[in-house]
Amino acid sequence: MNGSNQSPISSLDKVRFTSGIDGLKGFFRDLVKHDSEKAENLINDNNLHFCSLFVLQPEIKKLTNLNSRNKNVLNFMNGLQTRDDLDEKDSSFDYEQMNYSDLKWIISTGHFDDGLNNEYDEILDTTALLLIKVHKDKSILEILVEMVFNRHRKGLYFYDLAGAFFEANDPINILIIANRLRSNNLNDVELARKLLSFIPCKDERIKNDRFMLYQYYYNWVQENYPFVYFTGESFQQTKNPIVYDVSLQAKYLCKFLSDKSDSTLRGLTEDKNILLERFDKLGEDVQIMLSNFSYLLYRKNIYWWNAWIHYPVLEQIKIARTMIGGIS
Amino acid sequence: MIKISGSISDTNTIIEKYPKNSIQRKIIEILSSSSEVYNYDSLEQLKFELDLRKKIIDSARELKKSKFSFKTFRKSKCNEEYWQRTDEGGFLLKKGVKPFDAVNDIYINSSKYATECATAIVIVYYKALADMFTEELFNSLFPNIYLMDWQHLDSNMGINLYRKVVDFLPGDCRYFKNPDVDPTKPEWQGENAIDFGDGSYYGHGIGIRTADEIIKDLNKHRKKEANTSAFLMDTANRPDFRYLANRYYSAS
Repeated sequence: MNGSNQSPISSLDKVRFTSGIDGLKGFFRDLVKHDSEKAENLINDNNLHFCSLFVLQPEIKKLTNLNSRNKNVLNFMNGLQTRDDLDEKDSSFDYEQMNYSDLKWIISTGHFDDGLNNEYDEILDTTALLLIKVHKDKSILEILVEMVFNRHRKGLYFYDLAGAFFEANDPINILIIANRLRSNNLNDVELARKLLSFIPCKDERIKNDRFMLYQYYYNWVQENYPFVYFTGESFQQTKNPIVYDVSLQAKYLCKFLSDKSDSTLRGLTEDKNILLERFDKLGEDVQIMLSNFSYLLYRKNIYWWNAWIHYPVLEQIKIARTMIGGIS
Repeated sequence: MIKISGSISDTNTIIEKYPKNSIQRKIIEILSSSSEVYNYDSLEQLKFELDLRKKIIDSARELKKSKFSFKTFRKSKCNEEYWQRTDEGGFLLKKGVKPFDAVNDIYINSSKYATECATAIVIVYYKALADMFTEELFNSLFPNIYLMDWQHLDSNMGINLYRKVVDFLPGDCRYFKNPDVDPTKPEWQGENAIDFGDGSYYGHGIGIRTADEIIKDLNKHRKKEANTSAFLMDTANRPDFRYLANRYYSAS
């Protein structure tokens, strides 16, 4: 795929877009032979896309004056390739040599050509994982989703990328995936359903209507976002992992989970701990009802909520059952 | 506690059918001494689960002994006489090939195969069922096998992930999670492993090891300055033993 972004297109990318990868290789090989200085200038262009650097690796190795971006990225690719030559389960690779801006360059210019080949896609996967897990960069999530859905359409491996998306631990971005339920491509709709199957929905009528399902997921995120946490489940563990879950305890006490990584509530006052002990002994259906009511009341009238939360749990249940319907 | 057709079962008569120190005995002891209630429609249904769990462990041991190797999906390989390697790295049963023969070939020509740990576990399940069922029943139940971790399992296998499990049983597939994995090695993010019931587990690529040993191996592949150790989750993947038992007995 040619792709484009806001930046001007570099000369080498232009050759690649018009003459294909083989055309670019031939063009660059001749240039290195006859005018290596010009070749260096073109490969060091700030607007170059990662794909052109990737396909020209053998020729670039003959050049001496590379900018730091190109040197770093070539070392990075070399490290990953060397690692693959070793026994895969006993190798190590120093990823810290790569700085944030070079990683960002790989993914933001390289994703246009995702699917080029296995080696190329693996570099993009590793880059995405480093940006998410080491640099905590959530700005690439939309790109990741685009890559995941494109790969699914082509029947390519996408689970590491999908895992990286969820590990970013930013449940509000679930909506980027939910948006694909409104796609005209039924492959996209199928994958969106699969990836978001962790969101509980018992209503078959909603499940069968993708537009209603989108609205349902949208409402679920709006309602539960402050209490959603990353469970650690992955596609490597099960077909339909529950990657995010709602902490019913947090919702009941209206305690927002600031780090989104742990459902355990800490530093509570003694009376809140006692409330939670009693809450934990309730059946799951009652816990769901009570936590939904609590957060609803909290948003409607915090003074009422403050009075209600100090009642004994059985009294809370009675009030909740009486009032449900009255305050929604 | 074991209940058969709604009544509490006297497990002594079942236990006596199995040798001392057998896997089956161990499973019955766990089930009958548990505070959980385990319901079976018939004694045969329970017996089927005991025997299939034993076969799962045997198949895991056999796979460990073979030359079947570890590779990530991008570099997976298979015997193309029986399987077609897909672009995502899975193995799709070739048209005209009998599922029974194709599954057995993984154990016969094991050096021609390599993949990740989850797919290895799925292979173990298929092999256990191939050993348990007649060739005819196996072929009719699983006509379109696609081996690709947990994602394309045949619905007749009925694999489900159980959470907050109270009693772990020999033959369960457990999961060791490595939350601080080195981002350049996603294959070390966790290990699916068959529980042998004697404190050891089989995980493809790691071998037959204790839980502590597996955790130690996973911890060697964490990111720099990691502060969270790998750990064994309280989940278990299990086939639908009861459904499979019913298919088994209705065919015989």
